[in-house]
Amino acid sequence: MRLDTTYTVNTPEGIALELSPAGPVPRTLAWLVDLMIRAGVSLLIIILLAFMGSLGIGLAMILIFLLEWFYPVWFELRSQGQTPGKRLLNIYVAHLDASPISPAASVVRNLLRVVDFLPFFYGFGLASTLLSKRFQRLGDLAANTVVLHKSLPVLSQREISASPEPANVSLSLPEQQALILFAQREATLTAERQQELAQFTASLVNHKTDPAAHLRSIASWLLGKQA
Amino acid sequence: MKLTDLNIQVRQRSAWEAIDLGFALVQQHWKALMPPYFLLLLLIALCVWLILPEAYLPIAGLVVWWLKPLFDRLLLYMLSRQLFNETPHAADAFSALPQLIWQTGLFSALTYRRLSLSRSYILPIWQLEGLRGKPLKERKAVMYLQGHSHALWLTMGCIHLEFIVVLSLYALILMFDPTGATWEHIKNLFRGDVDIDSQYWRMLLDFTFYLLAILVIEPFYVAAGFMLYINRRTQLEAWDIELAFRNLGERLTQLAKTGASTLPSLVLLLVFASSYFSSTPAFAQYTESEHEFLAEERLPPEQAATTIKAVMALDEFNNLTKVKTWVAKDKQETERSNHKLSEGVIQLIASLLKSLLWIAAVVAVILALVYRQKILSYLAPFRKQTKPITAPEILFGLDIRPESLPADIAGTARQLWQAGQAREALSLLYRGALVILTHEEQLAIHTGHTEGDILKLAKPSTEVERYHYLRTLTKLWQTIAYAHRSPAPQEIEPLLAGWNQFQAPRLAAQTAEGQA
Repeated sequence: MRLDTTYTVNTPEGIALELSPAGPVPRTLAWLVDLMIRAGVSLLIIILLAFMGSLGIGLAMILIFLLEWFYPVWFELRSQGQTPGKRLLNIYVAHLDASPISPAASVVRNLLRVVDFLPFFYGFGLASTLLSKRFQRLGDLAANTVVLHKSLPVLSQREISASPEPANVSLSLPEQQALILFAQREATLTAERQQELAQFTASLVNHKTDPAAHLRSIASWLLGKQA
Repeated sequence: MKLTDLNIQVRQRSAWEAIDLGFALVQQHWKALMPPYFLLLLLIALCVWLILPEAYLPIAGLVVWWLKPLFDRLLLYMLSRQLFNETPHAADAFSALPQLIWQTGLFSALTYRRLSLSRSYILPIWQLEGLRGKPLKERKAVMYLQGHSHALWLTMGCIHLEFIVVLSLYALILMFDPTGATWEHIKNLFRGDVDIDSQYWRMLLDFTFYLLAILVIEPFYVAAGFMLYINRRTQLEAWDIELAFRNLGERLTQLAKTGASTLPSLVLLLVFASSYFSSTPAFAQYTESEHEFLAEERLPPEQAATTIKAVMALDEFNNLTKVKTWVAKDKQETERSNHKLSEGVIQLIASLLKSLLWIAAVVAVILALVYRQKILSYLAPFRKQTKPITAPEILFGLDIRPESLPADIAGTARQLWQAGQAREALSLLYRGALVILTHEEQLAIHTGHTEGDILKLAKPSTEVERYHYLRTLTKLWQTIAYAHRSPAPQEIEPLLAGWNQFQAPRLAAQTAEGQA
């Protein structure tokens, strides 16, 4: 078993979802961004309400309290589990099975920030994320939630221009995927490396003058292009 | 290095995922990683602490921080080998240390490259690839094209994580320190007035906390940088595709039974404009010189007294510090709050309570004496209470009460067998065996068990020979009971002959009882 950060969830429809939990570094950075935003808004509230004297300061305190406690809940429920900081880092909060986070779970995980914050600045939270397999802090463990990386559609849309050519052997699904990936990554690989990679497929490219181009043609054929 | 030996999943990842993979890598291998790293850190920290003159002890943490590239190299040595399923011993890491010191660009890393913010990302090029000069520059340029910003943020993130560890440790002590000395110390840290003599132990505490932070966070930092590097290489050289194509080629070769093709070595021909990051360290030491003033001649006593008074009135001698501590509540205050009750009533209540307490104590002693046996039985070592097993009387239609059996089981069975009643003979033997199992050996057999279950249950507690006997007997019994097939005489003879052997523990127990 090769090491990876991902874990798999099987849906009732029989689809295996590969989920990738986010670790302490992206989460810390996302939290720092959120902290900056909250600090900015708090400052603004105080400055604006300070003109109203002690009543204004009282109001400001209440508003800041609400901001501190319900900022993450609000955003997690309103925008697919992403606070602005998480959006920046492309991570989101979800249940362990990747279903959208429920209000109860969001409230639980954010109220338990107090515990994660202990003894100071998320010491326990850090220990918990470093020790748990899915990088969960204590609030996550209690609410059964996890912070996941949003997968990016990086290459899937890239066109393959080569003219289709059928392969002379039957190929398994992972092999077909590797061939298509190879063709899609044409722009990011040097020509020499492409030829070298193509040589690894041995008899698939035997006696071809340009093995890499041949593999791209097969990939094009696999994607269902017509000649 | 063979890609096929890599024990991480090679696939296309985002840079953040690569960083997380580094964290997972440490989670996986921390047991092997920690001993050499801990030893090295401890040795260096001890040296620093003992060598530095006392006035410079506050910067001991800074010195260890400065030496981080050295620890990084040891960690990367361990990690890079674990990545290919080798498990280097701590001793291997230490014998590799001279090479790590002299051949991995440690000098520049400790001097003008020390403040580089992508230290762990670039380290594999220095240490594992061993590139120098122009190739190094070109490689760095390629690596920095993507992933540089992530490497920077990784460093920033890990700095924060270190702070979290240090601050949390302080906070933990603050929580459990009612004297307020820790709080004073922290305030002093920020004010900058560190009293060398009295604060030796506190400085040691600072130093220890910082070492702990390095100990915990640095492996994650190095591993995350390493994985970022691996991820970039995977992007550049399509390692994931290489692995898939190798598998594909192998399969096709197996299919065609043709010779394997030769594998040319890896070539990387990407050359881009170089832009790399380095900066010079800038830190200066601030020391304060002290002069001692001596008056040239003695003053007359009155003048001296006024001078002393004036000096004593200075702020330096009237320095008031606020210290929060826990003290017992003021006694007078409690008396004042109780002033409504007269002295006599209080005395009465007090003596009443006192006598009640004494009575309770005496009663407790008496009760303890009365129930001493019950109490002592609680002190006896706790024994797991097992439910007494009541042996079933009938198992799959067989009567297995001991009193239903004749005294000489083997003899009776032999007679039955010779009279042609094979079924009865085997039944008797099998019932005899069940009686021994349920009554003498206290096997937890209940009515739901089948013959096979009983055989399984008996296996762990029975000696091999007796188990074989029981197995043969069960098999013969099942054959005759359910398949109505009589056993051959040579099959049943060893059973009849071996019965006493099988029964032996029971007889031994009986004779032991008789002797007692």
